[in-house]
Amino acid sequence: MIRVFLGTALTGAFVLGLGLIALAAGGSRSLNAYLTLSTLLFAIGMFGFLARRNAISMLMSIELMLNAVNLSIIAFASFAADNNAAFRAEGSVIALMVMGVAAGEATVGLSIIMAIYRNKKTPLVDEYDAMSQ
Amino acid sequence: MSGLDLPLATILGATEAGSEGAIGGGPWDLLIPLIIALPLAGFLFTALVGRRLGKSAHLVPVGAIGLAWLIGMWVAFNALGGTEPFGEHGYGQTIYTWIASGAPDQAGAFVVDVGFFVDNLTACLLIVVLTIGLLVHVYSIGYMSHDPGYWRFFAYLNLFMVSMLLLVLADSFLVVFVAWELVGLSSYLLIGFWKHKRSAALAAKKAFIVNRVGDVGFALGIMAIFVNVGTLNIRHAIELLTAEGAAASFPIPMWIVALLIFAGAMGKSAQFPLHVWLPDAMEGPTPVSALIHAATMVNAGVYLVARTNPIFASAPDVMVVVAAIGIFTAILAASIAMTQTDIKRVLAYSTLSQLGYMFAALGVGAFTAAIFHLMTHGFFKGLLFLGSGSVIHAVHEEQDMRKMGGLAKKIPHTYRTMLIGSIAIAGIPPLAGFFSKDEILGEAFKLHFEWVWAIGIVVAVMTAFYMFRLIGMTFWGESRVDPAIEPHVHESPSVMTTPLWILAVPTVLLGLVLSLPGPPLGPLLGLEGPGLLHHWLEPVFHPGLVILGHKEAEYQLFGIDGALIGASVAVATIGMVTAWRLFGVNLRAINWRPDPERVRRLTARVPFLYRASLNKWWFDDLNHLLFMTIGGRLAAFLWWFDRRVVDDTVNDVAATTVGAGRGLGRIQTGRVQNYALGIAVGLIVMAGSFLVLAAR
Amino acid sequence: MEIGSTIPFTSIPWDDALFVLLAGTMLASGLAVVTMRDIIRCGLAMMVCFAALAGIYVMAGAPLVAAAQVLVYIGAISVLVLFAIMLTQTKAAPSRLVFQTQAAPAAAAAVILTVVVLLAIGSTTWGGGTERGNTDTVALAKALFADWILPFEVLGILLLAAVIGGVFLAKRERGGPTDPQR
Repeated sequence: MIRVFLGTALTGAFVLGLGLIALAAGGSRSLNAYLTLSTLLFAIGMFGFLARRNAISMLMSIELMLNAVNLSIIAFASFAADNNAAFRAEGSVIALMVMGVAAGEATVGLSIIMAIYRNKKTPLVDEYDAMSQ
Repeated sequence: MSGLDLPLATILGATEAGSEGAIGGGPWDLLIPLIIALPLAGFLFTALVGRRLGKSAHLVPVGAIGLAWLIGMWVAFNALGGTEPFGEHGYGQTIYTWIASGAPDQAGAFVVDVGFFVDNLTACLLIVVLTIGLLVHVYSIGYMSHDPGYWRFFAYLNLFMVSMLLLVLADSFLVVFVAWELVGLSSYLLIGFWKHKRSAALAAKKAFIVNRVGDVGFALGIMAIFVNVGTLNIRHAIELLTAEGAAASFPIPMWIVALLIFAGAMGKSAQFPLHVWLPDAMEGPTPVSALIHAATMVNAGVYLVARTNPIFASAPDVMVVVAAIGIFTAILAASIAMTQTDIKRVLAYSTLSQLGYMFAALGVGAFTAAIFHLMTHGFFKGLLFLGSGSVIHAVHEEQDMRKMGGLAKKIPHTYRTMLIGSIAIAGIPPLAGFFSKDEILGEAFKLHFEWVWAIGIVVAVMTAFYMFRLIGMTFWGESRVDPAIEPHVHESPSVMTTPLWILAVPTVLLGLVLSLPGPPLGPLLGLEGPGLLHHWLEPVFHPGLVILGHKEAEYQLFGIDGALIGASVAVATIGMVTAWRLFGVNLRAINWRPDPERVRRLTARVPFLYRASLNKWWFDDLNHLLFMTIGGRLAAFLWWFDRRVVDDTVNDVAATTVGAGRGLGRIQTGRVQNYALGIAVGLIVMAGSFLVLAAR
Repeated sequence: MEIGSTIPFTSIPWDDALFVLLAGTMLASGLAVVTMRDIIRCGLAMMVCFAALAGIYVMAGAPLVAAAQVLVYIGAISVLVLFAIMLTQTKAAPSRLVFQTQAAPAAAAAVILTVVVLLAIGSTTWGGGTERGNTDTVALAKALFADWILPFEVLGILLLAAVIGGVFLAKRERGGPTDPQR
């Protein structure tokens, strides 16, 4: 019982602690906060892509990176100079485009992983070594 | 000129004046390139899809040449008639600028235009090349009909026509050189057409290599011309080279330029000492021998010297060299032809000998006579070669005349046409050979090259002799044909005999037509003025003749000229009758049997000369000694050097590289995430350096 | 009852508090995606991460993008990923190691990249406004279906191609080694 409470509390503190980074960077009314969040998410995704052994994990990491970029696009659009409505709308449009492309990428990527998996019988990328031959 | 002035644009109205300010060429700007474009299209078509066409592969190539012949004759007719825009000095057009480094008139600029130029000399060559080319194409339909490489043969023939036409039409030395190499290539391909035959492959290689020797000279000559005057346009370069007082400022003296160009001509026209390839070239199919190695390509050298006649005229010493080499080749080849037994080889040496005549004529300054002989020789030698092909065809690919004899009755068309050709080449009036050969000898004598005349007269005897020896051994006397073949001897199909008869017409009449209304027959008939060919070629050779300072001598039919004619006709008759005595004759009025016994006694009397002639004066052996034995030793040494020094250096470098590569190859793990880490590091470096640069 | 602009009894604005919560959730679940051992939990954490991100989009004034985020990522891509996980997970070969050998250099690279980019962000003066604004959905629709209609259609074709390609790639080859009918 205590362990559950303690775990929840620790997790909550961890989450809040991470969130305070955003506050430290300027809070919800500052562009820098959003960009900082975007950078961190991108770095997390990059780490996952470089370090995880599982091909699907790598794909998820790519999704994280794509979302990080999307966040920065939205942020830039949101802080448009002189409240420029057209510019803001275009930011959203580009974000939607990125989403569409990401969806396609996920489809094809997962299919490729399935195809490789059928041949190699493993989802672990470091056992795919055909490129060294 | 921009690269856009294509003939089509010119036709469509964007008329651009020619380089010498002539008026636009109108339809000629399209027609002249078409002469080359048609065979080129035929070549490409046949080379690409000919294999599928089987026995109808000849339709497109022959059709292309036929059309080109029509256009070419129209062009030649207009050029010789002086129609605008050809006028007296010809018409040039620029197709596009091939190399344009610097403005055309700027010092040190290197500008090469690809253009065509048609004047009267080109027109004469066009007539010879296209007419004989067309007839040989038609003849080949029959001659090659059983060959598995039928389509390939026609593709090569068309390629040759493209090259040869480019050679005579080109306006620039560099383009001429390209065509020069292209005719060499197509000659190589056609000599080695039966590539599975070892002797054919070797002959092709020999022709190619020997020609290279001359080509080096020609290439150097072109460079020398460029160094001297900075342009490669033929007319412009000649104009600058022979300008009054310009010679003193040239870095390279004129005699070297002329000698180098003559070296190129020697290679292509097989003059001593580069004559060794032509007899071996007879390994190719007979139509090829007729077209390339008798009627057209070997004339390229003569054409080149005639085209650049002012250059030679400015170097009189080189002219003497040309005459000497020409007349020496003539007597050398004629002496060899007297004893050969292969029917095509006799004709090959005869070709060499006649080419020697042409160069002798060029050397003494009788340019027109050389071109005259070129034209008549093209026709009658083409006829003789095609006839010999018909003979070979009839006796089932046998070329040895000792296994022929008595064929006159069996292949009457071939016999009659070849007899006409032989009379023509022997110089019996009024056939074509008489006029041109007599003009060469007469001019040589009157221009005070008496020694050329004297040797030429001896060659004339020999010519008549070996030609009637050929006719006698082949057509008259007893049959020595292999009894197994004897019953199958048959006349060739009409697709082969028709070209023979067509060629027989100019063989008989061309000399007469081209020399009238001038001497020797003009004055007799009460006509005046120079001969037709003299009239045509006067503008072309005028600059050269002016530099030489030759005076037109009064023509005296009942004086010196008559005597010279009488002498040459007499010696021709002597040669002919001697051959009849020894090898028989079977004409309506005269009927002598061959006398092998007397031949044996005569040859036994001069054993050295006989052996020398039979062994072609040991030139092949000399070359073998020089280039195979001595050159082989040198090559062996070089090979050793190459292996021990050059190769080992290279191998060590290679070993080092391989070792380094093996070491570095470990980086390539084949794991995609290792590569991705590389991308990430690259991203960091880029972002970081951007930051550093922005902060500065 | 009216809710004030700040949390009662403190001076912290509501939106900042919400922002902190969303940002923390997003980063924490993002870290979970790349670090957890059980890959199904990774997939679920990814969904949480995307949900939090959708909330941030709303705060940044892009509600339509947030809706699309929920539909596309949480609705479609996550399901696709979870299916792929379940199809490829074999009990025989559980991944004993989550990370491969280059985890340490990868972490270093990620940290360095973060520092470099944060430095860049901090030292840059953005020319834009200081107020975040809401995206007018009508303006967005006009932009998407007028100026951007061609990219939009091209994207449609791309997605179609992706679907066909995906089907083709994932389809079992008939007579292949894993064909159950063999």
